[in-house]
Amino acid sequence: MFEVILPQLEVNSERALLVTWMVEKGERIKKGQVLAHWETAKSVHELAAPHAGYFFPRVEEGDEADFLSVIAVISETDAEPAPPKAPEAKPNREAAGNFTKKAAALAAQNGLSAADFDKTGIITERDVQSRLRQSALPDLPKTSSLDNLKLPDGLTRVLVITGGIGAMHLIAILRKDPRLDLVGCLDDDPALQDHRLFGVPVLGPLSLLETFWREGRFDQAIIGATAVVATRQKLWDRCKALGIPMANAIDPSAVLGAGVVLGEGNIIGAQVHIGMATRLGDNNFIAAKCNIDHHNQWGSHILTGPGVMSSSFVSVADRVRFGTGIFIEPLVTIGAGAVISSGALLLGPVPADHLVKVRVSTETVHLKKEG
Amino acid sequence: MKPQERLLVHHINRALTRIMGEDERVLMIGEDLLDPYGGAFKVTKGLSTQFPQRVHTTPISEAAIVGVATGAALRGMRPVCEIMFGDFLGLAFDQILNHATKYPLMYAQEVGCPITIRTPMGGRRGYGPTHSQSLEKFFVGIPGLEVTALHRFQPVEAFYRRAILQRDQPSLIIENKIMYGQEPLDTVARYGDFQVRRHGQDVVDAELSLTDFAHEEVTLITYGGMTDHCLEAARRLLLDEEIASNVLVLGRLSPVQLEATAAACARTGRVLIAEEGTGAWGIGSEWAAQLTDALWGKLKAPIQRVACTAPVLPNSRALEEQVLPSTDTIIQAVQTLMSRT
Amino acid sequence: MSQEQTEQFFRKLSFIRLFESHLLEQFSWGKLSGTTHTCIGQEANAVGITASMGRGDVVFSNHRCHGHYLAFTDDAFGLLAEIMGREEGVCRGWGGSQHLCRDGFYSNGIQGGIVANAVGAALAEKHAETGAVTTVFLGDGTLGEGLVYESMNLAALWSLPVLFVIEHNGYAQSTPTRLQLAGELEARPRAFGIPTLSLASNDADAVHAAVAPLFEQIRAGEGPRCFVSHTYRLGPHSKGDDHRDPAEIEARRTFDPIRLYRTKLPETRATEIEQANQNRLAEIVNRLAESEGS
Ligand SMILES: Cc1ncc(C[n+]2csc(CCOP(=O)(O)OP(=O)(O)O)c2C)c(N)n1
Ligand SMILES: [Mg+2]
Repeated sequence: MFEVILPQLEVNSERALLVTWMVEKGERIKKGQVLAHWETAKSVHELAAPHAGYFFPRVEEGDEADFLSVIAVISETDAEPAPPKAPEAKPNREAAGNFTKKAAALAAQNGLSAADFDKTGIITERDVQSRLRQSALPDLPKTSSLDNLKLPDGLTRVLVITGGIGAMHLIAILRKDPRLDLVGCLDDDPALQDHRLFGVPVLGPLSLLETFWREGRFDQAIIGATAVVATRQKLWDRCKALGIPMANAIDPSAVLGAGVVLGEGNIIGAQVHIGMATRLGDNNFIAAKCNIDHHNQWGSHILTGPGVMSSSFVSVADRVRFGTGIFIEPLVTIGAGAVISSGALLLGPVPADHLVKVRVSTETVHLKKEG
Repeated sequence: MKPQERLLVHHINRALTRIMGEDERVLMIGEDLLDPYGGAFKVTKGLSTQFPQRVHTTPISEAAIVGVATGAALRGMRPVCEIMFGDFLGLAFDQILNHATKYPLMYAQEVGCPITIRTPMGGRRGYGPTHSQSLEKFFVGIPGLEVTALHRFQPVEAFYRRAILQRDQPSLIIENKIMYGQEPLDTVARYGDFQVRRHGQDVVDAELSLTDFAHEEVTLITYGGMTDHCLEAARRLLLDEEIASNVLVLGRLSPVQLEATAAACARTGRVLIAEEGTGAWGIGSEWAAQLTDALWGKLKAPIQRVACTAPVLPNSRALEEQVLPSTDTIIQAVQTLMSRT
Repeated sequence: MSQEQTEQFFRKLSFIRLFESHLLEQFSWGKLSGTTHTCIGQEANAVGITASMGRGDVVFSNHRCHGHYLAFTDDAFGLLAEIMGREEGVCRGWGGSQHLCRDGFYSNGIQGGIVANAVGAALAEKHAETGAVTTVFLGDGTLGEGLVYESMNLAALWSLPVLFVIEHNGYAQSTPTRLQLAGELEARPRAFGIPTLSLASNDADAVHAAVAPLFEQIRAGEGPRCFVSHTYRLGPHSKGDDHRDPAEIEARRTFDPIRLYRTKLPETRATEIEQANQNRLAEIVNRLAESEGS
């Protein structure tokens, strides 16, 4: 098979118009026979067959073709050769509804798509922010967070993964929920084996997880480890690989506003306030006395210390680690994997994988007794 | 209209045809103008058939082309000269500087010299050192000469009509070679994701924005062949870095028409000027000087200029791409602008 | 040649001489600034050639243009005022000695460029079918400019109504012909197929007689013609810049066009005309002096 290339007919154009093919599709042609008439800005050019064989066009009359592109093939047989694979579509630069990189990230976090914007042309971060501000109450499912919990007939049997301080924290919360039956904990620490945490037995090492799940010994799990983001995420991935549904643990003293949406596996500590229309992803640990105000968008695997105060419209990406006593201004965005030190006051965006250091100069001096 | 007849070269050709048809005083003078050839870039194709008396094909005599046009203009004609490549304009420099522009000025009376010189400039065709230059900077400093640069957002016929029929002094029109084969965007209100605004009459400055003409941080000023590069840079700056810019495509290079440009730059306080020719003593130099004066106190960073970096344009397309200003060099210059704030 | 025309020629010849002598004097008194190029010794061309011109005809001239201007427009007041840098000048003081424009007369101090402009003017007149002839005056030194040949080529190719007048005075500024002109001068226009007439005479009548048929041929649509006048500049190139052998100049005074022509008139008539010219110049000078204070 021979590919017929449209030659560079002249230097001042980039393409030519196919006026007419002079031969039929599938026709047997001779070398040198006139195949087509091409028109450029300047004149009409004849194109001769570079080979003998059976002719199959790749361009239609009235269409334009780029110089040096394949316009036909000449085959040894009269069977039509398979058309070439469609070239990888070049990103259509003229397409409407493009997001800037930042806008795309912010929109995704908030579950917005181009259709949510009444705009032709590029959607910027500013556009997304103003869209978020406009929607006082976005269209969120009217379910409350507690309805997310799966409640099969009778009690839900919950397995607590790991058995350290975090787990005790968690058990303290879950114990207050009459609908739950805490099956036990799994932890690799030999010192914990056969102990009870607030009456809940440590059943053995983590390696039992798969067996317990296979044997149907629990309905949901929840991760107790609350110190290291990576640990928490690794355990989550392990559970999710097994398809285990994860329970939310919400302290009864927490207040959740209208339209709050939680994913799974979250731990919400005592006296946490989550404002209206805020969304939280999965597997987060929100320590006591945090305030996550309205229209926040938090991702997954986030750990906080107590007293993180985020104002409205704050976005927090996945795997962010907060210290204690942090204030966040409205509309601040925090990138994935960021670490925010205790006492920080966040006024502007924090890029992904950045550490916010706090320079506090605190000095402890000896009090000299008078006299 | 056949698909190929939508190109800018055909629009210029139609405009010239109409203008010649309307006014008997219009002559075409230049090399290789006659049909069937119709000029090296085919801008004058068909004219010699339609107006055989008024299309004068000449020997290779650029000085005489402009000189003869000048004499004819002094005696009431409205000649249009085609200089085959802008690179050859140097041969006619004295006629432009000491004759065509001088007569109306030095005779201190109502002596008009309405000649129009059209010429293609610009590279990216691989024509090499003496057929690819952008030499307009050597002409913008000539008093009494209006230098305009055609761009795709410019209504074509009004542009040529003004120079040929409505002005009484010499006009130099720069036509970018690449543009001949592109389609005009003379009436569009949107171009891709850009909104298009036009300032001025007949000779139009186009202003393009991806956002809203209000919240841009940078103004990119350009003309002619650098337009697409600036637009692409503006797109990438917004998509990748959330830096919004407006792009001003100048129709008139000289005399400097400051008002609309200064207003657009005042909004952003950060200005970049992109030109295809060499930069020193360039188009951008004068614009930068005038804008600095007009915007003193409003500029947030020194005005940046982007231009050809080599003293000669290489023939190889690959080498040429390295030395001509590109989307990347514009983006880098904008980053400099942002960082120097 | 009628008596009337002879008197007219002499009136013009002697006025140009008087006018330019006055200029040189004014320059040496420091009354005029800048530069000037007088045509002293070459006046026969100005008078003899412009005599064939009529309304609508066009003249392009060079740095040495006063004689051409006076013979063509008779605007002595406008010219003197212009050279003195006065608002009343024909170009309001902007143009000066070598940049004049009036009623189809154009001059420019750049050598050679006007030749192309003259060809263009002829093209325009041909298009407009006015029947006008465009004359361009250039010196022998200007034959060094390439544009002259581009222009002759076009004039011949397009058969344009243009007369090239080459005033061959043997010098370009300080450079004698033998250092700047190779080959035969007349062969140059002829190489383009332009019929070329050569004359070595400072007699305005002879010049007129030689050139008048050229005008007729051009007006009849026969295309361009060239007239080469072998003449001599008796004055300096501009002012105080003459390094030629005084003996050479002295020898040429025999052919002073004014002196030659004066003999064609009775002595008393010639003196009368000269007196009238002096009165006219004095009147112009006075008018300018009066308006200066106002
Ligand atoms: C382009 C240009 N070069 C140089 C000069 C300076 N210049 C003025 S007159 C002159 C000599 C011209 O000689 P020619 O053409 O023989 O005229 P002539 O002075 O003898 O009448 C020169 C060199 C000029 N005016 N223009
Ligand atoms: Mg001379």
